[in-house]
Amino acid sequence: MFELSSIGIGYGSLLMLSLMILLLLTGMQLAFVTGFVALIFALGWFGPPALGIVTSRMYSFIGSYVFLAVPMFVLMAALLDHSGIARDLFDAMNRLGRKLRGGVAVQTLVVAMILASMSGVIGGETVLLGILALPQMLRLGYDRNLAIGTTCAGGALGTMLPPSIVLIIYGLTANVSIGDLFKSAFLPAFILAMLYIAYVLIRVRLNPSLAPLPTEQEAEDVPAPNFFKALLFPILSVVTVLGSIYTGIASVTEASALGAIGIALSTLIRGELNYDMVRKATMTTLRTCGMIIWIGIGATALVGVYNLMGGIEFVRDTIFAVSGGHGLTTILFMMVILLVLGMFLDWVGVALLTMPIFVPIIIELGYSPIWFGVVFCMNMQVSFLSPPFGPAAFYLKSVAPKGITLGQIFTSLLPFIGLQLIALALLIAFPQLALWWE
Amino acid sequence: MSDTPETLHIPEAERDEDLASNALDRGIVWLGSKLSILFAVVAIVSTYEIVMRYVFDDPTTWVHETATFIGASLFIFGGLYAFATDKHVRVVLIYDSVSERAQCWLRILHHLLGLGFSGMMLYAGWTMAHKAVFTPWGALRLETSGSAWNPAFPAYLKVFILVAFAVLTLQLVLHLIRDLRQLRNV
Repeated sequence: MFELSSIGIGYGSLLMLSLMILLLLTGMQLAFVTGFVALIFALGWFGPPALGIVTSRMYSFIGSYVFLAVPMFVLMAALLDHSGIARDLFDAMNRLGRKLRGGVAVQTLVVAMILASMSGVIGGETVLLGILALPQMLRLGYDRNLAIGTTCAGGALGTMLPPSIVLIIYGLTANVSIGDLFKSAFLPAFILAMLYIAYVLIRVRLNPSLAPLPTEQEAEDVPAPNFFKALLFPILSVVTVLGSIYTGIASVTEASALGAIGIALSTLIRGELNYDMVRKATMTTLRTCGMIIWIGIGATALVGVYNLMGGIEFVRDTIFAVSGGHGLTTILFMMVILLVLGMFLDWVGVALLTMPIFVPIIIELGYSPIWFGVVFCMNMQVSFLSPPFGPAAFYLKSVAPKGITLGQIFTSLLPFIGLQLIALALLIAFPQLALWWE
Repeated sequence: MSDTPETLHIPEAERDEDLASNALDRGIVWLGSKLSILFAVVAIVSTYEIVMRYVFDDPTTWVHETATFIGASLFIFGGLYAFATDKHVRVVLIYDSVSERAQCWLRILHHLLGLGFSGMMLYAGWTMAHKAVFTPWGALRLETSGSAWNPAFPAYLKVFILVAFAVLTLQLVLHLIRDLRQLRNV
């Protein structure tokens, strides 16, 4: 057996990275690329007995109780998507759309925030807003780019406002309290949403033709909203899930299960619950989790093997050499790596590949790993919108009216990516935005 | 708002049954449609545990371990499901821009490397499962969780991981045969 380890960790890292990029570019499944590279290096560097590292890491990864919160939050969101709760919510907020210039865009963002605090994923929310809000804005004659950008960026808030599966995966990887992450993410997420709203209001103020007001007649036709019916279930859901996590009554996993059951009961009361809907929602859960978790399996395997090779030490020394051990430079350097990776890789892959390396460095530099989790989450907000693979754009494309191209969606998203970067910069400059409650 | 429909019409993705290309994949898709309902079971038993704990002050011993076991098994199965329906995340920047014939060659490469991955996992999974089911001197003894309830879930799960990689290997072989055949037609 040839000794791969004789090439040393520097060349070993380079070989590993090149092999991974090469295989990814051929279009091979991310989960299999990382798994394959991990096994090849385990075999070549240490020999056959080391293959056991991969299976035992896989076993402990999937068998973690906290991880169960991921399917439960996906199930909750899927049930929510198939109910009329979001529609009622959107209709109840239409007062905003009647008199205020740009009001429907603001209404969309407010509804997006409420949905985001009930849901921890982005797919369903972007699709829902694409069905509810986008057609209405286009019908009123809103500027297309503004309407598309608002819908897409609003949908992506799902993983920024707690609960969020991005924060759950980070918490598991960095070994920090998910409840603390949820507390810290709230204000930065709120600031991001406010930046969106301010942006919309300023744009339409400067150029009123971007967002025409509805005619008198149209405004009269809007039925009086039933706030009680529209807000009852969302408020109950937020209080149950986040309330039980923040007060420590239930673990994150239990709270997520409670949330799924809560939404199911809400749809039962609303007369919408049936077997077909539950089956569709559980199928969505199976599909999403199969995908996410296998990326996770491959990535943890790769990081596990790389760590044994001494790779994490090596990257740490390299990063310190580049940044000169200066805190802010190191963080900015990491941000660039995350932004670039986020353009091409799924966020789960980014989290599980980089966080085991970055978080110890962050702690060594004296920063809070909780704060860094929120920074990571904000960074992944950019990855949802950034070309060429921003998933939120693809979700919106699946329901957007004919004639709206992916290119147009990505163009519309550029200003919103700018706003995300501003929020990210604020969060890095003022860590208290996340940690004020400590 | 007369032009908005009464109910939400979320467009259905392509039916998963149609994405499956052979009998094994179709079987996995069928099984998935039955097994996925277990996610609802997890939600229900977890809620039951919370109710028992706070309302009846009588926490259960079995909910956490059972829920985790069901979840872990479904996670593993979900990977096979995603492979059967070609839903695993891929970077298709180059793949989508090359000819159909080149795509076919690339898929063959993926299957071969995938076989390398699943073959090595079979070997490692066998070692892990063997340790969980047999004692070092060869007697049958299932590994248990070591809790008060002490179910044999670790052994079941490790055997299931082995079975899953056996199935994945078979899936990869079938896909390899499919694409080798297709190579003649494109």
